[in-house]
Parts: sequence; structure tokens; C-alpha cells
Amino acid sequence: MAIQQSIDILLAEDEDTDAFFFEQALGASAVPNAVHRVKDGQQAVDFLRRKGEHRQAPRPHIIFLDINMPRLDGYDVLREIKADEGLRDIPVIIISGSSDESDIVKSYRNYAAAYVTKSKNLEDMSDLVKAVDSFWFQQARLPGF
Amino acid sequence: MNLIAKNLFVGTLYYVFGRLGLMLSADPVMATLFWPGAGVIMAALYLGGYRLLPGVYIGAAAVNFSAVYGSDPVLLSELPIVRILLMGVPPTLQALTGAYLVRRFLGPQTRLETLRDVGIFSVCAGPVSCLISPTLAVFILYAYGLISPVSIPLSWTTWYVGDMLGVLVFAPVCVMVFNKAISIRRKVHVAAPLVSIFFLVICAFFYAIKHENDVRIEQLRTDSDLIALTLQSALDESFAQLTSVRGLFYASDYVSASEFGLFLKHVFTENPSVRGVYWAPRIVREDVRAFEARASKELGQSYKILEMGAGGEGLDAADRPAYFPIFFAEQSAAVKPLIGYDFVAIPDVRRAIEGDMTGRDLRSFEAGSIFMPQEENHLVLFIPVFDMAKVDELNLVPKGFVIGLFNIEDILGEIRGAWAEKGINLAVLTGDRAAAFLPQMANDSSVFRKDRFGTKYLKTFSIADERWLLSFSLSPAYVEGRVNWGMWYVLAGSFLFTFLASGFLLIVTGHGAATEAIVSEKTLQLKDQTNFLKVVMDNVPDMLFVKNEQHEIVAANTAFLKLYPPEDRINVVGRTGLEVFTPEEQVFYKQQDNLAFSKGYTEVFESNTDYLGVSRTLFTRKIRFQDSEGRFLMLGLARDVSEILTAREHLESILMATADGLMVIEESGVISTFNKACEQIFGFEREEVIGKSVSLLEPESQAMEEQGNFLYYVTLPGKAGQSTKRHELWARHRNGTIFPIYLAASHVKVGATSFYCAIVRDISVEKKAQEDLRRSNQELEDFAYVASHDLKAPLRHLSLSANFLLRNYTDLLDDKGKELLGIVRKSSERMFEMIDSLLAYSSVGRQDVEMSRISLEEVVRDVIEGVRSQIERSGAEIDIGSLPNISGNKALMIQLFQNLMENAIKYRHKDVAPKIKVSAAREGKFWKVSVADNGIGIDPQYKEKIFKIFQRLHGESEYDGTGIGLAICQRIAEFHGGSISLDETYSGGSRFVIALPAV
Repeated sequence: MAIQQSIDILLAEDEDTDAFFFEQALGASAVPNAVHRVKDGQQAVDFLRRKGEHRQAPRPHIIFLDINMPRLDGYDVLREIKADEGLRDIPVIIISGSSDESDIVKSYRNYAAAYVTKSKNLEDMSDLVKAVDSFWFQQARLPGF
Repeated sequence: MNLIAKNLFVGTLYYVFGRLGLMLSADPVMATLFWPGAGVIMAALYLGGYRLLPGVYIGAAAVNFSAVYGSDPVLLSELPIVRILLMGVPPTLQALTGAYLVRRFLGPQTRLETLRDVGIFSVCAGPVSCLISPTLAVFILYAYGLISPVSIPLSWTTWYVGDMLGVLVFAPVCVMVFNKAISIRRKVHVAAPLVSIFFLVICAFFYAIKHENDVRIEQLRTDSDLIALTLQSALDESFAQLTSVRGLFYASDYVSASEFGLFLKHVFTENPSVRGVYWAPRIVREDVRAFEARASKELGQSYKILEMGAGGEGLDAADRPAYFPIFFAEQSAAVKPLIGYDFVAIPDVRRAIEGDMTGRDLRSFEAGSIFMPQEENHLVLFIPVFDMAKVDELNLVPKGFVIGLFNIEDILGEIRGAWAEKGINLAVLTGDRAAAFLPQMANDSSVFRKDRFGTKYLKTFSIADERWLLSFSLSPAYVEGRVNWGMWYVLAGSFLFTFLASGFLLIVTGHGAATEAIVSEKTLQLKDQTNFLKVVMDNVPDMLFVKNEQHEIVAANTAFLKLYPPEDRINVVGRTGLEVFTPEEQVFYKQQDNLAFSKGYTEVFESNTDYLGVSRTLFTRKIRFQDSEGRFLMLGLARDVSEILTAREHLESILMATADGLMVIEESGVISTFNKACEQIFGFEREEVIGKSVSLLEPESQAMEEQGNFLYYVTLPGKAGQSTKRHELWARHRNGTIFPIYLAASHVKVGATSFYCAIVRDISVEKKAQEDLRRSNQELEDFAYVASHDLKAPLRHLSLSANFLLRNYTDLLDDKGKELLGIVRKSSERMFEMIDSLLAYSSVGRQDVEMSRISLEEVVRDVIEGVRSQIERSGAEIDIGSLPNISGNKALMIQLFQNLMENAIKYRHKDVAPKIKVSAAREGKFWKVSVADNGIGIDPQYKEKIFKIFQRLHGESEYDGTGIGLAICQRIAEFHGGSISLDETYSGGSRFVIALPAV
């Protein structure tokens, strides 16, 4: 059995609680992963551009992006990524508390790979993460992985 | 049938006129000098058309036929009928040409009213077309040998003149008389004098012609008698010589052949007409042999008594008691010797001599053929010789005949030649020709025979006891020499005068008729105009009145008379009529009258007057004029403008009271009307803005703009009747405040002036409301965003945390703690759902929604597909009826029907499979789509409550849900311009009816 490579995940989420439950759920994944969490949009961009404290940051294989964040919001980050030739191949999955149609449309228009809503209970949350895990980490092939 | 009758009529008419014309013919070579028939048939063809040609032709042929037959039946038998019929052609062709020419130049129904009409008619029908008939006819007559070349010019001329005069005199009159468009009076005026003149001329003509004929005939008779006498004496002389031969036989008992020859030795040279003299003794049957022997001896040749056979050959004489054989013969060389022939054997001779042997000396018969078969006009004389000793006996028989053979032509030729030079032709008619006339004539009588070609004088003539007929006729030269041309000129002149008279009468009466027509037309026009004027006068609403200088009313129309009480109206004319006005008004009106009389007119003046109890405002103008007698009169024109003024006031008050601002702006941009609403809107008083530019009412910055200012939009409608939509502009209040207005302008044209009418409305309030709405929408949007993201997050965390605690820290909690933690989790989840519902509800129609044509059937099928798992779980049966297409948003419609469908499945009786029926029906402008189920139903008292947000009829434990589904349904239905309601009448479940506009 070959040593499995670990998936680098960038999670941009200002809410600690959400981040906690997301990481909890992701921890149950069969695929080894390393979650790098940033707390706002600016940090997410800095992480991706390896600026400041993120000089040593790895290039994530997949990005989970909250919309409602201080400083730069999720859309701003998404636009930055998709406008950057070096980054635009990384799939971005939007995780949002909003189930508003306008948010969904706006995300996909900006080349989000998927839009998922944050769940209000744990079961749903782990179902969601499991689904993400099984599709994105196990079935889908990601660039550089 | 009618046409045949017309043709027959025309034919008969021509025949009658032809016969009349023949009576006017002059001897002998002249055609008739006046031929009215030519005019009659020309008129007939002109008026009746060419379908009368057969009648014309038949008439023409009949006249010629009768003319020829009447003159000489023998001639008729000699002329083939075709030639007679041919003579009908020239007059027909001529009439046809005349009719054609007149039609060509004057049309088919000339009324012969002007000199031009009469002139063209006369020339075409007369001199021009009349060339045809004489030319053709004379040629035909010449070709048939009926006239000699010498007489061609005279025949042609008289024929031409006759036809022309006939046409000139008769054709115009006939055309006029038979033209139905011409009045009887004119016909009588023209025809009566003409007929009188014509008859006078004809009578004069008859008298003249009779006189001339009498003179000529008397001359002819005298000449003829002289000729007959000359002939008689010439013959007598010849006969006397023969008679002397008889003396020879009386002188001696026996005359020998030599004695006979000696006696007659000189007779042939002295009298060349004598061709032979013979002696024929009487020989009785017993003496025949002895005589033959003696004769043979005396003549020195064989002698035998013979008689003439049928072919002239000699035959032995038949047995008779006595013979008269020729014994001696002295004759000219050309005569056939007939020695021995017994003449008495010839039946004609026997008849001539046996009748009366004793009566006369001479017996003659035209028997030259016996002697000279090739020559005519030979006369044989038989002179009986008696035995002198027996002279006294009764029944004396001559002892022989002296026979003389004469050629009359020798005698005649001399006389004829002499008279031919004088112009009398002499012919001797014998045999058949004479037999046609002789039986009707007594001895020694004479008769005149007249035909179209002249008069013949026929005279009986006796030679011995034979009766002949002498025919004397006048040669053209004789007639020409004796024609009284003066009389013919007078006659032709008379006809010409008749023609001129007819032309004159036609023109004069024509002019009269035309003048009469014009006068009657003008009279009618005048009458019409007068009527028209009266109708106009009496029906114009304006008052019209005429006054004289004494202020008395001369005339007035109905409108004016209405100033007066009805019973007084007939008395108004003739007095001043001012008594209905107040003393001040009377003075005023008189002043105006005087002004009009002195100045010529007044300007329009306004006056108020009360009459018959009603206040009236009048606009009046007075104008001076002169009547035909030079008197000055004044025409007053007054208009009652009371109604117009009232209407104008009404209009102005309406205009002033209009809620919208209304301005009238001249083409120059100057304000001329400014209503109350405008005053309120702009804060200016009317007086402050009237006459000022409209730019006064807008901020300076806007007024400076090239477009988009007041003046630009006011004058935007280029044409009268055009108007602009309302435009939003900035306006400036008198106090300097800037506020938004709507401005709509239209271009109005009244008479020659045009102006713009602008309607303005202050829209500050509307604009503020719009702004408020926009802001509140934005706030709602912001709220929704906050709710979606910020409000939900703590709840989610609460729920998730409680959930996490319950799962991972359950050992640390007692039952109470677990229960409370469960409540925390459940409440937060519920609140979470409620926020979602609220967002869903508020989002309906908030975003831009695409409307399109959608099929509700498709929508419902999509819904069924979406809720398939619930349907399968509950075992629901769904019945979809025929559903319409509507205009709407598909996603919203799906949401609506999904909510209803889910409700129907959710609120079912336990253990009863749901039955759902979706159907639609058209009701007016709406489709009513209903969704019915067999579930637990809804109490009608909640029919409104159920559509309110978060209203639930059941505890959450029974049926889950936030209670917002139907509220969303209502919002979607309303968003589509429709509604949703609960059908209260439905039992056995619930039935929702969605009304959607049927577009």
C-alpha cells in the first residue's frame, strides 16, 4: 500500500464555530488531509500568494470559501483566484449560510466549483462533508494530486 | 315591321314627289328643272338613318320605271328591266352622300339654328352631293342611247340644277319638320311661309311652262301641217304623172309595148321617186291562151301568167275567172322585172282593189317589198283603166290597171332634210309602230304625245286610201333655239329665293329659339338664385336687415324678426322698429346708423340689450349701399353672441379650475394663459407671468440648455394636432425652490393662429414616494442579506453545538440537562427554518424574474417529478386535467404547485391514500386552476388565516412545517397578477383555486 499523499485544504472561514464543526467532520475522512484555516478573505489571498506570515504556505489542492467574511468577502477572493492564472485551476467550493438564490447564482458566475450551504445540525453537516470528501477527495481527480 | 313601314313610306313619298317633278320637266332634252324628291330622300336618309336605303332605292327605281313606261310602252318592251332598275341607283347614292356629309359635319340631329348649320347643310346636301346623280344618270342614259351626245351638257345641267334646287328647298324643311327636338311653333313659322312661297312659284312655273309649251306646240303644229302639205303636194305631183298614163289607154283601144315605152320615156328622169310603171290588163280565163300567145309574139319572149309564191318565186297561176298579169313594164334598173305576175293573186292587193273597184282612182299599199325586197317606204299605186264604152254600166270591171312603184323616201328625204335644219324631225310611222297609235285616231287628225324626253306631234297622213302616221318631234337645237331662257332663269331664281327664304327663316327662328332657350334658362337661374338667397336669408342664424336713412326697416330676415313678438313680426317692415329697445339703446343704434350712412360702414360693435325678457349680447356691423335707383340704404349684420360668450366663460372657468396646471404658450414662447393650478404649482400670480417667456418657470441652468428645457418640449409637437408624451423636467418655484414636474404639450391651431398648450403637474410627492419605495426595497434587501448570513449563523452554531454536546458529551448530562439541550437544539433549528421561510417568502419577485410563455402541464409534471418520493411513500394518485399555457415564471410556478402538492400529500387522512386532482377552466379573462385533494380539509373559517405567514392550523407534532407555504403561494399568484383562494364549497378534502390571467 502506497503512502497516501495528504490533501492540502484551504478553509477560509471567519466563524470559529463553523470552522470547528467543519474540521470535525473532515477529520472523519478516509483521505489524509491538512486543513489550513484563514479567518478572512485578505488572509486567504495572502495565503494563496504566500505573503507575510504565509510565506511557507503550501499550494492548496482545494479551497473551501465562506462568503460572509470581514475585509475581503468570499466573492472578492473568488474573483481574485479566478483572475489569477496561477490559481484559477484550484477548485473553489463555496460554503455559505445563505440559501438565497442570488448568492448561488453569483458564486457559479464567478466560477465556483460548487456551492454548499452550512447545515444547522450535525448529521447534515457530516453528511455534507462526507459527500464532499467522497466526491472531491476520492472520486474526482484534482490538479497536482 | 315598323322599319318596313317607314321604308315603304319613304319610297312612296319619293315616288309621289318624283311624279310631281316629272310634271315640271321641260322639253325635250332637259331633265326636270325642279326635283323635290332629291331633297325628300336626302332628309329621310339623314334623319332616319341608312336603314331607309331600301325604301329610297325602291322609290327612285319606281319613278324611273313609271317615267319610261308612261312615255313609250314600246320603249319599255325594248329596255331590259335591269336598266330601269339601274336608274334607281344615282339618286340613292346622291342622297346617301348628302346624308353622310351632313352627319359628318353637323351630327345626326342638327336643329338648323345658325347660319353655320344652314350653310354647311345646304352646301353638303346641295351643290356638292348633287354632282353625283346627274353625272351617273346622264352617263347611263347616254350609254343606252337614250340621249344624244349633243344634248349631254344641257341634260346634265338641268338635272343638276333640278336636283340641287329640290334639295335646297326641300331637305332643310323636311329635316326641320321631322326633327322631334324642334318646337311645333318654329316648324310652323318656317314651313308655312315656305309652303306658300313654294306653291306660288310652282303655280307661276306651271303657268309659264304651259304658256311656253303652248307657244312651242302651236309652232310645232303649224310647222308640221306645213310639212304634211308639202309632202302631200310632192306626192300628188308624182301621182299625176302616173294618172296621165291612164289617158294613153283611154286614147286608143290598143296600146302596144313600144307605145307604152315611148310614153314613159322620160318619166324616170323627171321624177326619180318613180321606180317603175306597169300595165296589167284584165284577162278572163277563156282568153288566157290567146293572150299568152299574143304577148309572147309582141314582147319577143316566152310569156306565161304567173303568181308569186311565199318565197317570191314564180309559180303557174292558179285557176281563176280572171287574171291581171303584168304585160308592159318600164322600170329603173334596181327594180325586179315581174313580167307575167298576177298581182291580184297577192291577198293584200286583192283586198285593196276588190273592195271597191269603182270608187277611187288610186289604190295604194306599202308593198315595196314585192318589187324591192331591200328597200322600205315603197308605195305601190293601182290606177284602174275602164272600158270607155261600158262606163255607164253598173258593176263595171276595169279592163286593166296601171301600176306605179314609188319610193316615198326620195320625196320625204328632201322635205326632212329641209326641216331638220329648222329643228323638226320627221318620221313616218308605218306597220306596227303606227298600229300602236292609229286605231285611236280619226282620219286627218293629230295628237301630242309627251314623255320625259320631249313632246311628239303625231299626224295621220293618207296616201291614196292608205293611212300613215307622221311623227314630228323637236330636235334639241329647235328647243334650245326656242327656250325662253328668261323664264327658266326666273324660275330657278324663284327656287333659289325659296331656298334663301327657307335658310333665312331657319336662321331667324333658330336664333329666336336659341334666344328663347337662353332667356328661359336665365330666368330659371335667376329664380333659383332668388330662392337660394331667400332660403339662405331666412336660415342664417345672423340677423340681416336693411334700413333707409329715416331708420325705417326696408327688409329683414327671419332671425332679425325674432327680436319682435310673433304677432308683431309682419308689421316690422316700414317702421323703425326701435321701440323694443330702451331709450339709451335707441339713441345708440341711431348713432351707428348715421355713422354707417356718413362713413360707409361701421366697425363691429358690441351691444347688450334686453328683449322679450332675455339679456342678449350682439355683435353688429352696418354697411351703406345704394339701390338701383340710387337711394342710400344700410345693411345691418348682427350676430347674437350670448351663447358663445357664456360658453367661453364656462370654458375659462373650467380651464381655471383644472387640477393640472395649464398654460397656453404663443409660438414665440410667451405665456398667454396661466390657470389657477399653475399659480399654485409655480407660486406666481397670473399677471406676473402672462407676456413673459416660459423660461421664467424653470431653473436657469435648464433654461440655458440647448434641448431639454421648457421651450424645447413645449414646441416639440411640430404640426397642429400633434402632442408629446409627458416629459419630466425641473421647474422653479417663485421662491427659488427647484422641483420636478411632468410636462406634456400639444400644438393647437385655431383659424390662422396656432399656439401650444402645455399641461404641467408637480410630481415632487410622487418622486418622493418613488424614492421611499426604492429605499425600503433596498432596506429589505439588506435585511434579507443580513438575515441570510448573520442572523442564521448564531442559530446554526447554537443548534450544531447543542447537537454536538448531545452526541459527544451525553455522559456528562443528566436527563433534565439532555432534555433542555434537546429543546435548545430543536428551537434553534426551528428558528433557523423560520428564517429560511421568511427569506423564501420575501424573495418572491424580489430578484429580476424572467417571464415567459410556460405550460402549466409541464410545470405540474416537473412538480410530480420533484415530489416523487413523497408520492410513492404515501401512495398518492394524481389526476392532471388539461392545463393552459400562461405567461409567467416557471420556477415560481413550480414552487406554487409544489407547495400545494406537498400540502395535499401531507394533510391526508391517516391510512387513506391521497387523491389529487389538478384541473383548469376558463372564466372570463382568467384561468382558474384548481388543486383538489381528499385530505383532512380546512375549516372555511380559516380561509384567510391560512394564507398569512407562519399561521398554522395544526400542532407541529401532527404535521411539520413552518406555515409559510400557502403565504408563498399567494405571493406568487399575486406576483403573476392573479390570486389564490380556498374553495369553501368543496367538501371531502380541500380545494385551492388559483386564478391566473389568461394572456
